[in-house]
Amino acid sequence: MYKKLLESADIEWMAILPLIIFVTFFVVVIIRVVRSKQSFIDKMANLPLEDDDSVPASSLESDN
Amino acid sequence: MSQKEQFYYDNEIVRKFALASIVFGFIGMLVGLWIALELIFPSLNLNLPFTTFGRIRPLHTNAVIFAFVGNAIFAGVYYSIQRLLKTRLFSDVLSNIHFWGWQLIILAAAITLPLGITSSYEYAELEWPIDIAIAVIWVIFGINMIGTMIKRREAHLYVAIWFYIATWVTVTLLHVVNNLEVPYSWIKSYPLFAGVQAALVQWWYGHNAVAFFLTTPYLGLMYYFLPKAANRPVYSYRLSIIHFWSLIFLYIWAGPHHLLYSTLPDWAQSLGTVFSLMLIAPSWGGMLNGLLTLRGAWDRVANDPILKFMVVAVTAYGMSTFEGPMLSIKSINAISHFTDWTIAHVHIGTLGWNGFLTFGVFYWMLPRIFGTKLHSVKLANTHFWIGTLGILFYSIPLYWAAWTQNLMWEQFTPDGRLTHSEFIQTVTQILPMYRMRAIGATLYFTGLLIFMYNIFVTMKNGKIVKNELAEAAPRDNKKSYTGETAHRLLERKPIRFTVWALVAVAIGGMIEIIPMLFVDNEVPKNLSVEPYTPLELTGRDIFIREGCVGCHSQMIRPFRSEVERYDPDNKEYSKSWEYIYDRPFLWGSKRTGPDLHREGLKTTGTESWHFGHMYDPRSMIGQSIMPAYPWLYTKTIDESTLKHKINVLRMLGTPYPEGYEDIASEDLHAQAKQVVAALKSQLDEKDFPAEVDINNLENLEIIALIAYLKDLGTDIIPKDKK
Ligand code: HEC
Repeated sequence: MYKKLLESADIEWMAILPLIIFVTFFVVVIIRVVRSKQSFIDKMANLPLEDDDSVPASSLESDN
Repeated sequence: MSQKEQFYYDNEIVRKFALASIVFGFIGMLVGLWIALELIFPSLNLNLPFTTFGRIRPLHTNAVIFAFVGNAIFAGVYYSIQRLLKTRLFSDVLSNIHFWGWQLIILAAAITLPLGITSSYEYAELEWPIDIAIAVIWVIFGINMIGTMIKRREAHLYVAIWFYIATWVTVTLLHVVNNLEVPYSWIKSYPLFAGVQAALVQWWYGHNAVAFFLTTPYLGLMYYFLPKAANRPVYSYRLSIIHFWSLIFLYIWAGPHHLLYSTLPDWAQSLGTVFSLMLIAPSWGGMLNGLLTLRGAWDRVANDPILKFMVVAVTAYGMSTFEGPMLSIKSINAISHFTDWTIAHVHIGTLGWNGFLTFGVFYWMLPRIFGTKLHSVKLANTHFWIGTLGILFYSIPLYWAAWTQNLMWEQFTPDGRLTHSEFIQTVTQILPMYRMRAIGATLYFTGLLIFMYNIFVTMKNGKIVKNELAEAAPRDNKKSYTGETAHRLLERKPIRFTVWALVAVAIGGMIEIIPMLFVDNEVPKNLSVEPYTPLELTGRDIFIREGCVGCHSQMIRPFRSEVERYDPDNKEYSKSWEYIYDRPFLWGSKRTGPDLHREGLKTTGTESWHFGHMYDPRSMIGQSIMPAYPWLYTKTIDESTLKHKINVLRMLGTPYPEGYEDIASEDLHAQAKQVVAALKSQLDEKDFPAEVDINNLENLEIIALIAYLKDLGTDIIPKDKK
């Protein structure tokens, strides 16, 4: 039953819809990214590098 | 500045996962090398069922994907999220359940796959009890990871963590949908979907297993470990955000590119192609982001093997994400599909991207958690060069083989006949390439051995710092945004993020699955599809058990060269309605042997031919590289689950009449007697192998398999002409 219904409908939009969804989505992401503050971006980019100096080698604990 | 808190990172769990990854990497690649050699020396299975190509090819793929790469993901994720979130993992108990549970699953796979207990779906071969275990352990991993985010001290989630979350969410979704199956025994099941629908779901899964198990978690690792190893921040954090969202959004839509020229509706195939092509943009954005992180530090790359491994890994990522979309263009796909091109393509990804990134990460990380230095930088350099050579020697011959073989498949003589009408001619031609590939594999494997030696000595020189002291300020609770405490708002962030990622992939997933509704399965008026008889069904399950699908496709594409080769009398390509009772579908993805979809129509394919061929392929086709299956000539048919099989299939839609399960066994024997009678009319008693019990022929597995092979493709013949 649902098949007959779907077949009779024009389904070309099925192919267009995903493109529209994606483009919209992509534009929103770009806008948000471009508008984010440089200081925040710098902070985020440096997150992985933060912990290196936090632990002096002498405080390494074995077995605990 | 608030008071700093002290806490300990859990390095022990990282060590465990890393070790497991290395050990299983060794086993998985060894099995890979073995099957590469079996294609050159078919007797290398030592005449054992458990070691035949069809059974251990899935062992190889599962071991390297889920054991080598899987454990490496967990090691890298657990190392990095603790440090990125400045906290210990959520729960030591969950970490350990996760670890041991995952290893048990691997053990179960290592036992069941050689036994032939398989669903036959690529990268989803494991049967239902193991599927359930995977789901449970995966959820535990998720709880542990999200729990860690909730108790974090760092307010913001670094982009690597986004990739981890997307991985978790999507793999959960894929695993559940693709493994919808109904058990017919405590270890075996039939899938919910059949035929074309099943193919669509399976390749939606298969494609995204590559995307979300081999790619996104490794991108997370890249975004953490590459900056660490280079000691500089990622080139552009903005780009990484765009990379993330467009990648997870696009990836999941591209699956239909595995089914070009199949019976999928055209527009769905085109959509798959378009989205695949669009994928190049984010993938290359990511690659450039990784490579440019090293700008101005290239002199260090020359001296540091860790950076070298990472550079080649990221480059391999770029290459395979360029090649992938190319392969989804129909005209290129027509050449590449079913050939060794696919194998070469995935090995650029796995050996280059996954393997090399793993090596880089482990060389960097393991000495650190052992509080020591890498034993030998020189050996690591040697490993790098041998490994790189290995990749080249592995892939280039296979590209060559694929191209050569495809040209031979398609070549016609001026008077319109296939130039290489015997399939085996096209196999013999590429055997030298298979030998080179085996050399490449050996080189890569040698590199792995050097790596293992280097790492194990390093571990011996150092001592694991099980709990590493760290300190960080607690998360800032003072600022309040929306009346709610900031604390609660932030706590919800990982969950909210998880939900968004789920929405993104679910939209794509739906758009991919919906085309299933449009597949035209209607059987033409003058034709009919016969459900498999009990004997054929038994034979089909033997076909599945032996993994024949690893070498044989059952999908004749609408090309002149294919219909001419595989159905010379009727010239019919495969139609979607022919598969409506196929649970599981057995299209396959690689033609090491010929397509079998119309095997039943082959005039030379008599009972006795199959009987002789399966017993010793080389007695029929001198140069054949197909394994021999002598055990099928002594093993008797297992009827214990026949009733349940019929019941389950009827429930799923195969039109067996009510009550048929009670007479199925009778039917089975009646048909077996016919096959035996035909066989005896074609063969003298002295022609039967000595170990075959001639009086018991009708109970032997080979009889069922022959019945199945003789039935393949016969539905294309109108009833009155059969
Ligand atoms: C290592 C790959 C490999 C595996 C595994 C394999 N085959 Fe083959 N098969 C081949 C090759 C190569 C040929 C072509 C040469 C020949 O006929 O032996 C072939 C040919 C055949 C043919 C003859 C097809 C024709 O029309 O000429 C049949 C039937 C067949 N295989 C059935 C099976 C079955 C059933 C299984 C599983 C029990 C199986 N094969 C497993 C590689 C394989």
